[in-house]
Amino acid sequence: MCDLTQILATDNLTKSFGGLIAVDNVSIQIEERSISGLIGPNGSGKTTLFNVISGALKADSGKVFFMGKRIDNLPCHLIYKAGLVRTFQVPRLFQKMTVLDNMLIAARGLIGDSLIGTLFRGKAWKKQEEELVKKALEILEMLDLYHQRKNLAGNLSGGQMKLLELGRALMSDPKMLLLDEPAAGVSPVVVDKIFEKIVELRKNLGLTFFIIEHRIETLFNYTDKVIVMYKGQVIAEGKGHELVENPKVIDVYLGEY
Amino acid sequence: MVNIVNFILDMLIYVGIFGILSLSLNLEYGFTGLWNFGKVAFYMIGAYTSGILTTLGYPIYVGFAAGVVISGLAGLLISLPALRLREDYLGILTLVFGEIIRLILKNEYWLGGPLGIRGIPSITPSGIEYTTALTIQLAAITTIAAICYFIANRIIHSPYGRVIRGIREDELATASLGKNTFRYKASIFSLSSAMAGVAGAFMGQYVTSIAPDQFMPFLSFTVWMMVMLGGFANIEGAFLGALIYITFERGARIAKDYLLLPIDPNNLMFILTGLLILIFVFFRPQGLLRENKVREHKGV
Repeated sequence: MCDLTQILATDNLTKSFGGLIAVDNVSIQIEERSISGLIGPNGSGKTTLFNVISGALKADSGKVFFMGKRIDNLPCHLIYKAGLVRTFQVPRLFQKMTVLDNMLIAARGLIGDSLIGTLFRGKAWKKQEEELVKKALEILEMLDLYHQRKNLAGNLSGGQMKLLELGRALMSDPKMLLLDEPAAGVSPVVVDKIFEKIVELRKNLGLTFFIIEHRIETLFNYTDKVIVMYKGQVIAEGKGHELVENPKVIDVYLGEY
Repeated sequence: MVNIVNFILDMLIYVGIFGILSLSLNLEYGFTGLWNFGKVAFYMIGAYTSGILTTLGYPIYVGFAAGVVISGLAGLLISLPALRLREDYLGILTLVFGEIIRLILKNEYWLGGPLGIRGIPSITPSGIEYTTALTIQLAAITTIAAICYFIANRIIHSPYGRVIRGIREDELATASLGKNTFRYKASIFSLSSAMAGVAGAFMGQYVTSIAPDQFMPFLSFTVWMMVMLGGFANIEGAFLGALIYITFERGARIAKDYLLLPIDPNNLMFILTGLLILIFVFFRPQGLLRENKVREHKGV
């Protein structure tokens, strides 16, 4: 089960809401340093799968392994500490904070984010903040959000909010990112920029990506493999061009492609 | 004319005491979004801890320190089960907690019983002039309030402050960013309770006697009104709200002696404060002052 090349694996993961089985016996493996896509019609359980993996929801049964360790019983913040960070389909930004503060809150190992540290280690955290601000501004620049840094996150456009969510996730030095429709509502030019950035981050930092996305062309261009979900189950898995020919996938998702 | 001076000094001392309470509630509700309707419990615990110890002969600073520590611990203790609840249930639970503490104190004779504790030693030496004593008291409460303000100011401009504001806005998102939200809620609740404790300890030595019926649930709601008036998530507003409320309360108390009213003049204060709150809810629900902005980062 815990093959070392697999950074994330689920084993017969199931989650239901009342009578609806949103995630039905899902077993997937994600290789380290890979970019994997997750597609499926609306309501097929993609986001629920992300929620269960990231600890926002508790699985009914099954296991989740991250870097060889079981994480299905851990609360959200410990899964984050392990290096698995997710973004949300509907951006969950802190609307009343500035864009920059939204970035900084996600940083790892902050000295000043405990009460004791805040009160008694003022110099240390202020110095740390200065460095983190630099890092945050670099990421914002990359995402074309630099000019918005002092604005409240609540005043951003929908697409910019998605970008900021991605930026916030990057701020946390993750090992693996679960991105829930990172390009929804983002203009085509920026979509390509996001995915090029993802490829670059994988190359430079060795990050692993697992991405829910509806733009199949984009997904097929940039991913190593794509997993297809339908009614809570994984119905196909493989490279983009293989899936296009898979009759099951055409039937439930692609239509007349 | 001395009377007016004393009256104003006494009023300002209460502004200090209630300013601290309102500041502590603002840290909990204004910044973190925790509903605490039992602020009075921690005020009471501070007053009683300090009152009991100092009447037993311990020095006043020991009484104060113990008041702060015990109320802080009480805050931590109640936060452990309570903070796992949804916000409205947290409100109910804290309200009930205040009443439970009051009823225990009322029924336990070794803790003073219904008559409470009398003859609490004051920080001012006996035999000095009343105005001088009030001035010393005012200086003392100003110092304590300034310390509380300094701590709050430090918190709201820090990474910790960022996290508690995050919890207020979206707890799941904050947890997904690696923050143990429970720990934050418990620590701010405990710190705020300690602040309420020091206010209580101060009040005890100032009036020199405390009794359970001074700590009715209404007191918690008075503090809520101060926060509503001054402004949510604004630490200066906490003191402004206390000033407005207390001025209003005392003003009504004086006014009723000069007005001929078709109602029981004692109710005038309640009618007027009710009206004031209504006006605020309709026209300025966020309170007089807006949320404190986070200090700008260097090099941005």
